[in-house]
Amino acid sequence: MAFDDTWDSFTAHFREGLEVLVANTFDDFTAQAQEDARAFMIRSEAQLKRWGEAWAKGLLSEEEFDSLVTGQASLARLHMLTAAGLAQTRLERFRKGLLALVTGSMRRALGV
Amino acid sequence: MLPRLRNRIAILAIFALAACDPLMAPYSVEAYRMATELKARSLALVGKSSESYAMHEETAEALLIDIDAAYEYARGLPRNEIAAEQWRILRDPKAQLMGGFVAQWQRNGTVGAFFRQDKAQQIGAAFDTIICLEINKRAATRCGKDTDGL
Repeated sequence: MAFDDTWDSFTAHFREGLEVLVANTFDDFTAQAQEDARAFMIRSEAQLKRWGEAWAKGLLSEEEFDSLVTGQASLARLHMLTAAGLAQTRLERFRKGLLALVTGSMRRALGV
Repeated sequence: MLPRLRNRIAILAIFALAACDPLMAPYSVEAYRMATELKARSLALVGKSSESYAMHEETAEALLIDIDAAYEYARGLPRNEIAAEQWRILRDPKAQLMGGFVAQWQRNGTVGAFFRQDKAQQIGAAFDTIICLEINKRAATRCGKDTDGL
């Protein structure tokens, strides 16, 4: 088989696999990250109200109220770091999938 | 001819991407064990904070040392900066999570019921963010919607 024929067969298999790989790896990611962030913000808002009321009723000291608010801000930071980490895990999974796809497509093109 | 050449260059670029170094540290059983165990111990300690700090000082100090060790472990893994930063925040007294809670308990002697309950949820949720990232290194996993515990 001529090199060009092998190459064409390889690229055809590779492109087909790449579409599936991209869809499986990234399709739902952005929507999921946005949904998580929105849910966190809604729950945080409710918590802030609750803590404010508790402080007003004397169930929380000022120091405790401040601690909960600062802790919630830190928690938001942790959520953002997790989201960044999850994006990295997807990219890493994509890289590994790409490696397998290159090998698999070449094998199919060569018929081995 | 030109499109074919462009096509080959694009494929070669993808080869290069596939062959590059891993982008992040792989899943670590040890990191997962540390996070889950320290979460359980932290919540157990918070639950005892209606009692005087002096009664639990030894346990609290041992726990903070083990959280420091988890941070150092995460920091020592290559391409693990995000997890290391999460541990740093969790132990930082100014961030008002585990490090801040113990400092406050020590300062005030005991902790009120309302604060204790909500801080426990906050600290549990903080650990969950670390656990969520670690398990996703192994396989894509949807973490619970209640990871902020609220």
